[in-house]
Amino acid sequence: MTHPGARESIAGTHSFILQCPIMTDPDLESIQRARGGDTEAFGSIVEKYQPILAAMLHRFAISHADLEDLVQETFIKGWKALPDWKPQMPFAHWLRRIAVRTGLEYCRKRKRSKVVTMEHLPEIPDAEVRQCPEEALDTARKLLATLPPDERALLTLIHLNGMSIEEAADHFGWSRTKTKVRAFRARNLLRKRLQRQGYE
Amino acid sequence: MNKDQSTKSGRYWSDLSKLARSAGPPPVDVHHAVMAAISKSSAQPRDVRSTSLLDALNQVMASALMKPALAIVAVGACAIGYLGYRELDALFLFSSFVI
Repeated sequence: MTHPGARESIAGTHSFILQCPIMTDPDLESIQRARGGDTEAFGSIVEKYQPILAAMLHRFAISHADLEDLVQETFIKGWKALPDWKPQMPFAHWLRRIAVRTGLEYCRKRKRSKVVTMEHLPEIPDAEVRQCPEEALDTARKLLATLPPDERALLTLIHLNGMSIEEAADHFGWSRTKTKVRAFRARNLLRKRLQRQGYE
Repeated sequence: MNKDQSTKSGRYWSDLSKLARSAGPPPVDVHHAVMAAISKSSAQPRDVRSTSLLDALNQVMASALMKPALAIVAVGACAIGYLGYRELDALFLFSSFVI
């Protein structure tokens, strides 16, 4: 399955590589073949990057089925957008950006949960977190699901994915100040949710 | 989160999110699903050649000379339109004498 003009594009890239010896994306050959319509080459990219995308997106996805959908959607978007990828840009970073955008869309599509599930929160007098990481993540996701979509996505990126304000601002296309203000408001909203459950 | 951390809710969220961050992802295998999806003709990448043409067009439109050139074209079109209108007026005047 080769596109018309694929050969020229590959040849063009090869001459570009010769001109730019600094460029060392390890997947460049597979990516260029995939750009030309080679599905097998894209398959090798999927194999390599699916754990990386899963690691990022499982903080957004409420269920395992949702996680699989998100990872799959990211790859399909990546496949369609391959002609937009520039060899100067690290491929992993480019794919990660698509994954974050997919995560944001997922948050926006999902309805806000009105109820915080009490069984996931510890008893009030002993408010320390004594859960395993997976349980903690599940509780955190459920708490965040009560927030409006953008606030949920923002706190997921900052608190669960460990992104800086600058990185999150870049993904949202907001200024640093706006991102800080939105994050502050989102945390206040979350605090109110927790206070409603008895956490003063 | 400075103020938050002094409260029970703030501390709880801070500890919870720290612990949640260390959770590893579950194994995911979407290889076959992705292959099946992209094998459909509707899900093929856009033609690289048409994309590069679009890129070239975008570059031309974004170039520094493009705005002044468009402004000159707009002013020229207005001037030609106005002169044409004036000439038409004169033509009508002339024809009214003749007829």
